[in-house]
Amino acid sequence: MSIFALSHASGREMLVLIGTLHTDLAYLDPGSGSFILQILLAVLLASLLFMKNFWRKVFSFFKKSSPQDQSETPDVEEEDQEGK
Amino acid sequence: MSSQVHNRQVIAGSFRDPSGFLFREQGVLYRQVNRIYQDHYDQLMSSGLYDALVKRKLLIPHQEVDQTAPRPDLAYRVIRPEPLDYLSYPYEWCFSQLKDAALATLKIQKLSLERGMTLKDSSAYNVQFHRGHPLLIDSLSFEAYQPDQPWVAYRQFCQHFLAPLSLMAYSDVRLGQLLRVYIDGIPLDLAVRLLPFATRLKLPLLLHLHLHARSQRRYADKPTAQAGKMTKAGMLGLIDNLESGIKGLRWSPKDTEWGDYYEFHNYSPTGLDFKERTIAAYLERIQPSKVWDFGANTGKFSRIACKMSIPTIAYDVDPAAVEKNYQQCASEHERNLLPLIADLTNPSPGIGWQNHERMSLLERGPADAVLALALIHHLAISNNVPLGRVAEFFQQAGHWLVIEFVPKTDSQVQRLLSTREDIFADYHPQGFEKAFSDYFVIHDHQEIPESERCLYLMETK
Repeated sequence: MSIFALSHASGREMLVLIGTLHTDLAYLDPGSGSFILQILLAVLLASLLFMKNFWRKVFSFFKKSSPQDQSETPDVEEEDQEGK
Repeated sequence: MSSQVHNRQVIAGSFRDPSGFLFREQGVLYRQVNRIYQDHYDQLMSSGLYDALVKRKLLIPHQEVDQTAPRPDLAYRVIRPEPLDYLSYPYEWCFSQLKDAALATLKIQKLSLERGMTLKDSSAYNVQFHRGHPLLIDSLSFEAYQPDQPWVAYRQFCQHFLAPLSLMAYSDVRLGQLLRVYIDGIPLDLAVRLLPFATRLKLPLLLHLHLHARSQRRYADKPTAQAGKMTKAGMLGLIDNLESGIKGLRWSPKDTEWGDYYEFHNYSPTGLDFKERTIAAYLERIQPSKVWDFGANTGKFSRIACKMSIPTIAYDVDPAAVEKNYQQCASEHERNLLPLIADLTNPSPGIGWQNHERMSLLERGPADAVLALALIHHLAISNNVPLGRVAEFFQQAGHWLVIEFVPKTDSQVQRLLSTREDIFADYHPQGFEKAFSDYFVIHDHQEIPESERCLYLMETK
């Protein structure tokens, strides 16, 4: 069954779906509560990341690089750019 | 620690994931990749993810080899991972080691998502410290990312990393030892009972520990939640928030009662210099390929071996000493030294399935040489272990032994005896030499100047 069906599933159907995901490699039990919590938090956490990136861009617009920025571990994205 | 399949030893801890398993043949470690994992393995190698992770020292490098598979009916490939010097476990790590392992796991997940893959597990046991870096040793931990799917390893990440780190930072650093009891990470309902209220005021801890525990309880048998999609933006937000939570956790030895205790010793400058030179001379003489330093403290003497490019494990019972040692290793990029927490009066046992999933401390030996400096009185007097039994343990742990005898007249031993009755009639240099002579040949001994202590070089009989 397609994972896309999750978006239309009721709570009870959803638990059935959780049990049928990854039929070949699902050796790890994701935990129903852990699975559902992520879905419930997704919009909030995506928004927080969007805001964080937005403010980071605003900050960097006004100040190209601060000593604090330089001391932080570079993000994966930044490291990726360095790696290319 | 292993079982036989077609004359090859399958590693005992490698049985849960149907994607493949580890086996050893003629002393070399291999990993069979099963056909069921073929598409995911090919994607790992062809997407650039493998190269990106290896380049950043986040994944163990491997080579594809022509080795015959132990289970050819299941096999797609056999790979040979780069050998590790030593296997350590999360309950032997200090706070910063567990934190670095957690951040490495999240960085791997971010890189994986960029290349259309995701981690299908996030076990702390899949991370090892190799030449100074935490890196993922399970090359089969990746799977193709399916859009809209939540992170299947989220629960495991919180149990293996976020919960123990939060407990260590906010409650007591010794609670990291709960990982030894709970092999699949600390149950979140237990973690939140032990955490102070202040952790509810930190958003990542509120969401991923407190609400997570509540969600587990609520949906365990009551499927009433509204279903929805977990977009990739949501997934990235989740990983970023977990990363913020982990980065926000801090623990420093300075905040503890230990303070500068470890800077204290009772040697004169001449005595200390003599001790260092004698240990270096012993190591030059025996040329060990690996050293275990028991009671290493912050690693002052471990570094003598480390500077001779000998892979060295520095064990100490005190998480503050191990933390200080690890921070020095990290700041000075010491690749040959691994500080670990070990209580020799109760060393890491074999745990997990059949007691073989994770090895005991002694199973991971023996070392070529053991250092036991200013340690004997803690074992023989504080813990009442007869000298013969101490010698027996060291004989099991390594071939050579560099040991320091600390007599009763020494101020450190006097301190131990000040609160208890002296029942240690055999605890004197002659009794020590007699007890150890049953297990070792004593090659040399040197009295430390301006001290009553003595260094010995011994070899297993």
